[in-house]
Amino acid sequence: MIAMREPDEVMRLDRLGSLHASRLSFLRILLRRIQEERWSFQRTIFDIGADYTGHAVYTARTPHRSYSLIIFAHQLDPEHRTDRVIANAWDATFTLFDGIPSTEDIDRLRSNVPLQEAGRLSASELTMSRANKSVRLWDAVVAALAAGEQPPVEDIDDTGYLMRTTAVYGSGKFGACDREMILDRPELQPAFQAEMLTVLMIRQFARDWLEYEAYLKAPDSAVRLDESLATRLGIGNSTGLGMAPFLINHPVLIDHWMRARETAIARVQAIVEVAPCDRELVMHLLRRARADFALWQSADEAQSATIEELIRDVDTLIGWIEVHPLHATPWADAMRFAKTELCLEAQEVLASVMLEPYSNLVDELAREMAVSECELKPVNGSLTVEESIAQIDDSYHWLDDIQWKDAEATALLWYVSEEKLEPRLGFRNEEAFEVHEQPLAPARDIAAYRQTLSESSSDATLAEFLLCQPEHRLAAMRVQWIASNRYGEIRGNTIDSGLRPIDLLRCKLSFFGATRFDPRSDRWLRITLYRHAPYLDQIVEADPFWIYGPVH
Amino acid sequence: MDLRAGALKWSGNELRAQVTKAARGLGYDWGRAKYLGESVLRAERNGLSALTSFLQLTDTLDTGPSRLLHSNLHNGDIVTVDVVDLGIALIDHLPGLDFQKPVVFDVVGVSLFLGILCYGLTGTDRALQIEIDDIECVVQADRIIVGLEPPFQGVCWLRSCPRRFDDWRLVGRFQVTDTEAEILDHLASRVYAPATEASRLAGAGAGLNDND
Repeated sequence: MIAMREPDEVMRLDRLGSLHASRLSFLRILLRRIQEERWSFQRTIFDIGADYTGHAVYTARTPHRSYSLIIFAHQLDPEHRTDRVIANAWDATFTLFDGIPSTEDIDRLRSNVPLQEAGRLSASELTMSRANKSVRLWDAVVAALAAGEQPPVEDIDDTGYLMRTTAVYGSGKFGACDREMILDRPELQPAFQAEMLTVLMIRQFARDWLEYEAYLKAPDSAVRLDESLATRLGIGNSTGLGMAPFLINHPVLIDHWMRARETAIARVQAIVEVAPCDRELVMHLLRRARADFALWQSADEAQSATIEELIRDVDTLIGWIEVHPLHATPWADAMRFAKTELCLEAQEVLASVMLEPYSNLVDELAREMAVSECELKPVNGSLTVEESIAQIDDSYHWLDDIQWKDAEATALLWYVSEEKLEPRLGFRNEEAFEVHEQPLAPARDIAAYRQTLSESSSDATLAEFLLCQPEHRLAAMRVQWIASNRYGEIRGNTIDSGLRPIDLLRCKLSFFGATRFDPRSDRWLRITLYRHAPYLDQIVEADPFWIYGPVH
Repeated sequence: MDLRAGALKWSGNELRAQVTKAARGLGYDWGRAKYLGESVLRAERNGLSALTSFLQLTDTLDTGPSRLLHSNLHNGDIVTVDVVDLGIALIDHLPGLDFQKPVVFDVVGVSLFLGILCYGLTGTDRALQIEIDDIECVVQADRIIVGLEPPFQGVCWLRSCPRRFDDWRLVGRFQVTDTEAEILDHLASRVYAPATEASRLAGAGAGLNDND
């Protein structure tokens, strides 16, 4: 048995900011289920007029239920096309409906979904989303198709998507169905499956809408987009600070995600004798990934340099695997080699790709990646102060490295703006928002909790301690959760002046299955979902390794 | 708007989040605010009007350190105490309380108190029987079994009892009156920072137009 990588190694911000999608990413879990259960999809309504507005409905039929994506298409003034959550108009708005919607349902939703945060959903809706066109690519592709031509593949690859979502809300937001109400459905039990299904069907709609627009422009000459080009298009997503608090606010869930991935990595590393075909598959997928990395463009200088380094390191890795013996735990050797010789991104690419041949060891772990938050316990007050200090010292020994007296260590603060309730990050000394600070600095708060504990009677119970020190309750609860969920805590200070929030975003997005991470600042980035994925009518027969790009 | 009946009811996630923020807005630390969000949701899921209880008490709740002593909780105390202080202190002490001998408290905001106890029993297989006037109820993890809404105030007799396994159906949607929503919004708004142009630009870090 090979030991799992320790949380101290895995949960560092720089490594979290280097994670890549894997077999355990949520969109791949969804597509595997669709393949296994042979879901069917149908476009039941496509009522979009010559002014490009209207609505459409796409329905997914599972063995036991149906889910319908209801789409409202709008005309959007370019001045109002913003990816920010403060926007109030979009090219298209969406909701995932539980079942088949009636005309009355669609009418009700037409009054609400286009308003997004200002609208109201019911228990029949599972998600709500919106997307904007990538105008340059959209217009160029429509023009090409209308003229009976195909767009250049370079244009397709440069952008990588026709539409970009700016939010996909689920879990009871804006009145939608609570996740705990649908947890008994196997298809929705793994994390974010309703959201992933929403985006999957948005991608199909984006292609259909684009081809329809080309047809309307030139009914006699328009052609459809070639399958090979269409497959290169995913759905873009702009993600900002709104996603970052999730990783801090859901430590037990994050532990389950990371633990599942690390368990899979340890299981594969423990394989003593690797079959030649499995090694071939890993090398083949690394080559495909490398080819796709070569098309991965980022406006961010640091990310561009990282991509170059990653490509070099993947070449090195392929060369190393090619000549390494297949016996005596070669994947463990590869991980050791990567850790000492390759960049973090390449280490994590290897960790993801080497899982691919081993569905029997990996895929079952998807079931362990969800948590019912209602089952999370409050503080166990029977622990003594001494025992609580020991728990902190065991899980949070890394706090000793942080110099709290240094102003840089507490330079930032998280707050929620009253404007659309958007999470933001400010400088403590520049904005008088301390009274509004969100509890998103566990490192600082647990250091303060430990200090206060150390000044208390060591044999007092936590219940007694909290009678006088209620302000430490959240920290006390977190310490107890982390004691049994060790991958749940980020080993880093989330209010340090050097924090790069995009590291937090990247971690979550990699679990979604995102690719082509493109930081636009240290606070937001663009990514692509489902690039290279099959479209709805091809999923059942698709290449299971589609995410690595086309076979060359 | 042509809305289906019930379409404007709140989800559990909304109820929990808004109560948590309102409790923080009242002046509670984030830990107790989270407890209150979880507790109100649990009581409401079991059909009790804990939100109403909470909102009726907002002017009287003491958000400072506890006024209770360890001995109050072990022996019971029929002097009226703040329900949030009592409930949270009681569940902190639960592992050390066997309730073989009934413990008695005078409680104002009984539905909220039952929600707090229910939250405190999360992850345990314990159950508590609570008698309030002529009403008897059983509280265990996720479940509050009671025939009718208990009174707002009453003397509660707590004792240990066997866990119940009867089927039940949790409430999935929550009717929140306009007045209740307004009070919650008002309290929750204290958590938010005012919008400023600097915050809008630098705080979020994104550009404002994306016509690419």
